Amino acid sequence: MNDRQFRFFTLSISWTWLTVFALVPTLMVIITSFLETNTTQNITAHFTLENYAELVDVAYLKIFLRSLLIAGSCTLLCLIVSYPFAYGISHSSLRYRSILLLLVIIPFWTSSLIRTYAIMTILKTKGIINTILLSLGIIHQPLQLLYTNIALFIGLTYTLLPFMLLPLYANMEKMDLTLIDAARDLGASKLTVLRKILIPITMPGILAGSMMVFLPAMTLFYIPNLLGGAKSMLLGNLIQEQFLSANNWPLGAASSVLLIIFMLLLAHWYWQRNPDSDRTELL
Amino acid sequence: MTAPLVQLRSICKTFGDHQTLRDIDLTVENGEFLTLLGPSGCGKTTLLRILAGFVTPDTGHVLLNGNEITNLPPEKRPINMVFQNYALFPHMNVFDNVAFGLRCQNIDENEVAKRVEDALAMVRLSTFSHRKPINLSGGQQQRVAIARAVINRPELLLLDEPLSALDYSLRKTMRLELKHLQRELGITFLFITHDQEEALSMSDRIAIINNGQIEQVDTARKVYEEPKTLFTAQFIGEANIFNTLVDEASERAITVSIENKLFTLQNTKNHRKGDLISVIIRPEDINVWDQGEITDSTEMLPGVIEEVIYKGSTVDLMVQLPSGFRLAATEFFNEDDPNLYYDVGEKVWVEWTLGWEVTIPHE
Repeated sequence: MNDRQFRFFTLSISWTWLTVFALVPTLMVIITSFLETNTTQNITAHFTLENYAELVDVAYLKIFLRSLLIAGSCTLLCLIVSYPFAYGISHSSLRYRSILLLLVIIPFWTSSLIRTYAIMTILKTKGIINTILLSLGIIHQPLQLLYTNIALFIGLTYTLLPFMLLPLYANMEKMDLTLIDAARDLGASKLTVLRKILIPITMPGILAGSMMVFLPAMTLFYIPNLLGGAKSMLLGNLIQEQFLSANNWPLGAASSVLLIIFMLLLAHWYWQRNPDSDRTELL
Repeated sequence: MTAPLVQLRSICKTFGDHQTLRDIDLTVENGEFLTLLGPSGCGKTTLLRILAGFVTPDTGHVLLNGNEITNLPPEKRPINMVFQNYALFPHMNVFDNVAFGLRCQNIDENEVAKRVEDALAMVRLSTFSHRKPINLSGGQQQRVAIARAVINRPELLLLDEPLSALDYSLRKTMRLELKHLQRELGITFLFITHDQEEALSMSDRIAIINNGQIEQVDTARKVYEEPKTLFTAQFIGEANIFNTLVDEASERAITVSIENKLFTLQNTKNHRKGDLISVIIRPEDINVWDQGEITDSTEMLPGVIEEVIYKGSTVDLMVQLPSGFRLAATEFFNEDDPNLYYDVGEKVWVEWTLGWEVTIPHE
């Protein structure tokens, strides 16, 4: 095989992959969102805008805003926890660095569904936290932790933290540390170094991590289901229910398309504000 | 009497099991251009970082205008630094980079604009104020780094090998520019380099550092002409070094044998009979004569030309002496001696102007 053939071969593999597993499914979702629903065969090949019209509804808007709020706060929480952590890892000695990164990655090796069940056993009425607090005499009645927003936050943040941490770490590791020295040398306080140097320079990492946390936080359906209880319907649950319980595929597809458009708008907004940023850094 | 600008008193610093600085004492006078010169790894950068406040010495004191600043953090010191890689903030344009120090002090924006413009004019970058550092050449980045560091009017400017990333001709131009700038600003410069040519051409004084210790602090001329240690003699310029015993010694003169010939030299360092000393002779102090030109060879050494390197204004010769010692000699072209021409293998007589040699105790 000569160079040209090899190039053609490798490129065609990635193109085939992207076409079969990304382009075609996305097109199918978009097409489905414009079709009519049908109780027996799921969809009827008949063009309609009905599904989008149906989504313009106070009930759905509430779900969307609630998802936005929860995903947004979860992203912020992940950022606040990860930022010093990532800074710490990227500044530790090489030996500790690999150990610390390993500790971040190890939980990935277990299914996140199982880890969510593990959180349930910690938070439930007779769970670890309540048992400890009761036996220490700090509380006399078990706390209601499971099936609350607190449990939802704990679950989402715990599951999505590495998605924030790793892009931040990758970004901070590249950063030239003498820049911090230079800023301090010029008279910058620690707060100024953070505001004027660290945050602006690590902004690509912050945004990449935020995107990677925000989107799953909007759509992960089993965590709200298991930890938040039935009452906390989020966008992910909505889409899942339309497909699996309500059997309304077109409506589920339309919600997915709106979500995709929303994320594209966010990315577009970032690129507009930072025209010289590398467009691949968010992806 | 006013205190000198900076006094370092018995500074020691150890990293792990490596003693980087051993008992450093150094005084920096107000307004001078002092260079710390030494091979890489000699501790000069650590010394600079101690002055900037990034490193705290294990023992010893740092005094600025007579006040102790050993534990003062970098942001509180009236000392600024030009970093080796310039460390320009990549997300800010040239103007914001230079303005950074002023904005940290919450100075009024009108005042900031005026002072930044002055600083950029000084380094001839006024038209570049909206460029990002990545769109500047190495020399321009260097000038931004200098403008940024002097905008706070520091009492001491530290320069950490700022010219090492530039190419040769730019480096030579920047040397002159830095020297001009220092006179213009009247700020004390503490410059670090491992390049002896740089040190000699810019400095008022040079501190030679080797292995975490200061070998000598003197003017460029004295460091070159009167080296106090063997290391200084070898590190600055080229040197021919003969190790020999003192055969006779009086208060004024010593007699030593070099290449089995007796020479009477001035006794400048109180050498005594039987001392082992090093006699240092610079290549340009050596004269090389054709055998035919010489009638009296009592104070000359015989040799054979081994190598001839033509350098334009000079010819560098390598002369092998009978013992096998390879002597470096530099001959200048001048009108008195138009026949400056040597062949490899030619037999010659070699002498040096007696009194121009330097003697130091053997180490």
